[in-house]
Amino acid sequence: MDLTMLGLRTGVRGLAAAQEALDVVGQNITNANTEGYSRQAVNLVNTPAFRYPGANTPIGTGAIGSGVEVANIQRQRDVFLDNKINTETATLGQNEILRDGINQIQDQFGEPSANGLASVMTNYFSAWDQLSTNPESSAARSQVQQAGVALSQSFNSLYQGLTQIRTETDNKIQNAVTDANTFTSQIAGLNGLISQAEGLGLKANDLMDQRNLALQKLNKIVNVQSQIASDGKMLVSLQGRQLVGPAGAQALGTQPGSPTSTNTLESNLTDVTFNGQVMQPNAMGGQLGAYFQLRDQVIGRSDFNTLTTPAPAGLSAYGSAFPPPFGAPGTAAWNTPNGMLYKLDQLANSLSSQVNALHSAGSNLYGALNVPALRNFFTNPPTANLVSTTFVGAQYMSLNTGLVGTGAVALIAAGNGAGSGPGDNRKAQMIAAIRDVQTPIDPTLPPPASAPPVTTVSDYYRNFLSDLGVKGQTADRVAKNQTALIDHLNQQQQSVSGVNLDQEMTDMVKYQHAYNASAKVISMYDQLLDTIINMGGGH
Amino acid sequence: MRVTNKMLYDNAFGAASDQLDKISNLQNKLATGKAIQRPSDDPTAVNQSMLLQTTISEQAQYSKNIDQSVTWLDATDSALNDANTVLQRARTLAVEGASDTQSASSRQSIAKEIRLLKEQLRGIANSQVTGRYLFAGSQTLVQPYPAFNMPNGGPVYNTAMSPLNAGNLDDQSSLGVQVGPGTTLTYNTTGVSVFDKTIDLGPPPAPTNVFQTLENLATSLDNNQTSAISGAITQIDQRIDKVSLARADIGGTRNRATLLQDRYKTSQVSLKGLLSQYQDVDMPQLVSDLTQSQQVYQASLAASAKIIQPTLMDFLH
Repeated sequence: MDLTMLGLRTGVRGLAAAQEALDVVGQNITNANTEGYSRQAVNLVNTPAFRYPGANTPIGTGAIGSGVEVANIQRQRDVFLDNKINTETATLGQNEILRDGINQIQDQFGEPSANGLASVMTNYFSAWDQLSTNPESSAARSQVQQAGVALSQSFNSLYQGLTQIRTETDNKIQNAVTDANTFTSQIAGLNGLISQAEGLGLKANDLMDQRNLALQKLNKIVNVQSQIASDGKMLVSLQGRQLVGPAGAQALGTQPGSPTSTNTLESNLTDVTFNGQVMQPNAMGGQLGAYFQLRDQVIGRSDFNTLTTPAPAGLSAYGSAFPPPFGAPGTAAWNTPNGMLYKLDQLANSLSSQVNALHSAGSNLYGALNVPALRNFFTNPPTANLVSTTFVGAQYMSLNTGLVGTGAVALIAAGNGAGSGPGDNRKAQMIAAIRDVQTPIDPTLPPPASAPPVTTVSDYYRNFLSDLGVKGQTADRVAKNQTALIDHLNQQQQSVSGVNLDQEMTDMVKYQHAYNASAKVISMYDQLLDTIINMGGGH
Repeated sequence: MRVTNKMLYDNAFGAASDQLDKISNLQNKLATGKAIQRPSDDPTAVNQSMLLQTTISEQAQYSKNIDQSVTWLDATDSALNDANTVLQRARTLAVEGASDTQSASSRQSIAKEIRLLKEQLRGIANSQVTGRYLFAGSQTLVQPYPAFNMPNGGPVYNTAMSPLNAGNLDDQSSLGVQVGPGTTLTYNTTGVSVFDKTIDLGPPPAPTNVFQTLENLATSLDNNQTSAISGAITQIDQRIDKVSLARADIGGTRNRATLLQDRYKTSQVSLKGLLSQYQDVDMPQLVSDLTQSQQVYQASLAASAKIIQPTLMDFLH
């Protein structure tokens, strides 16, 4: 006995399956260019067979198929690749930011060029040389004044430029924290929706794509660890602290830097906090880690001239005892003062103190020593309230105000000492020769200060600048490598989860035909039924 | 490997943007003529080129210093040459005056010329270059042998020239310039060493300086004292030796200065060549690189245009 109704039912199932498959094809096609989208595939299964008794057997010939149905819609994704991409993205983000930041710092120095600090220093020494060939000349003397002003202003503007970049970087830390919080709360929100759907036995494919994308973007900002819990929720942690937990996201915070020093400049910089605790900047990774690196290590701090008197406790043993969070005593000091600011300060101070020592002992055009207040060539401005008045660093270094102006040209001390004639040029010669003097420029560099290497001022400058160049070059190289690597990984992921339009078109044609064919089956049964129904009719 | 359309788009975009990046880099180099824009482009080359730049400008300054000292040396040499001529003339006159054939009146007229020569020599001892006295040590702005200071008819060295220098020898101090790292070139000749009593000048009353010698000679001529006249000849001879010695010194220094100057000129050329290797672009290479990059860029665009367009959609109706 034939079951006509079973055939109809099979046809209807075919129609429904083809329609659902076409829906998925449509979804795939429209999302072909959506960031983070994973291709979805329809898994069709045949529905349970219907036992069908046969003519020759009491039990039946076996089973007859009852049609088709969509078992599930599967997300095509390689999770291992996702994890790899996330990790590499953090490294990429970090090195891109480092590279850009170092470029910005290098542009500040503007080397190599005719206007960089190297040339200004050379010009300064040349001015003294020029004065030594004609010490009686006011023109040569005022040239020394001008060169002195130019040199100190170069130092001032470099210092200012660097602190400005540091402030900008600090602002970026705050922005990065805001962005990171956006992503963690997004992940937490998606967690809720996904676990809800999974609880109902549904596959939340599209939500998982979005969550994955959010995690990747979060990883670019800061290097987090993630895992999927048994209930389908994604848990995200940073330095062992759960940013996204089962209950939801907890935001990172920012607060002004540690108030353990009276250093006004430093205390305005930002710390990142979680639950009231300060996070270690050296374990951040990603863009946030790079901002910290730029702020605290590349640019760094140099407290010689920025502190107000009296010096805060702990800073007297300079370089060894910095207040937490930046490297507690005994640990690798994160914020060891050997960044650009520190080096610039050391350079300025070494140069000023060498010039000052000679200039103080020299005689002016009248053959006399200057009055004590005018003996130093470079000084800090009298208004600055500094820890050390003898340390003439890059920030405040300036030509002694008493030596400024045309009236003061005669006070430039070119002569050897009291009683020298106006033609005596020995101190001028010696000051010009400072360029060749090997001296320990970094006397306080930790640890230990036993034998700081000697170097000339221009070598010192040249070398710390090329050190910076090497850092920039490394960051650039790593960023390029990471880009290539991530491109490659993305290609692999694309190969799994990307949408191939040809394939979708083929599927579309396939399911369209399946739909048509199923319709044909139904219409065939329609005719069969029609035949049966009209059989009893009056012929 | 399964290939998707997005991979093709990404590839096409990636390749084209890589090429554009290269082209922009090359363009930047061509526009500035500099191979290095930042230290991170090539830290070693930047380090070297900064060192070279410093060395070049230092040497340029040393060259200038040498020029300055050569001017001074030449002026001194020509002044001492004049002094020599004057002293030779004085010697000739002294020999004439010592001759027994001379009458008292002719000796008096010789004495007149000797006094004129003395004035001329004083003028020479007060020679200046660019407003600075050559023979005054570091007291370059004060006349070393002023006319008003002429006890016994001969100027003495102006010891009172500096009110601050009680017992100080600044008027005898040497003037030098830096002509190399740690190298000083002394370019002045002090008046004391040439014109003053730095030689054994015979029995008292010994003349304190060359002017006194000439004045004494003139007085002897006036007074017809032939033996004293002969004594003066020896003194003039010694003085001529002194001048010759100073000139020999100057010649030596002048040679040293010229040698250094030549060396700096040669090394400037080679250092500048080296600097250019580090920081200047190789134009032909760069232009050919640019052409190549442009071709690759165009090729990648053309390929992308062909690859990206068709999908199965174009063939379904």
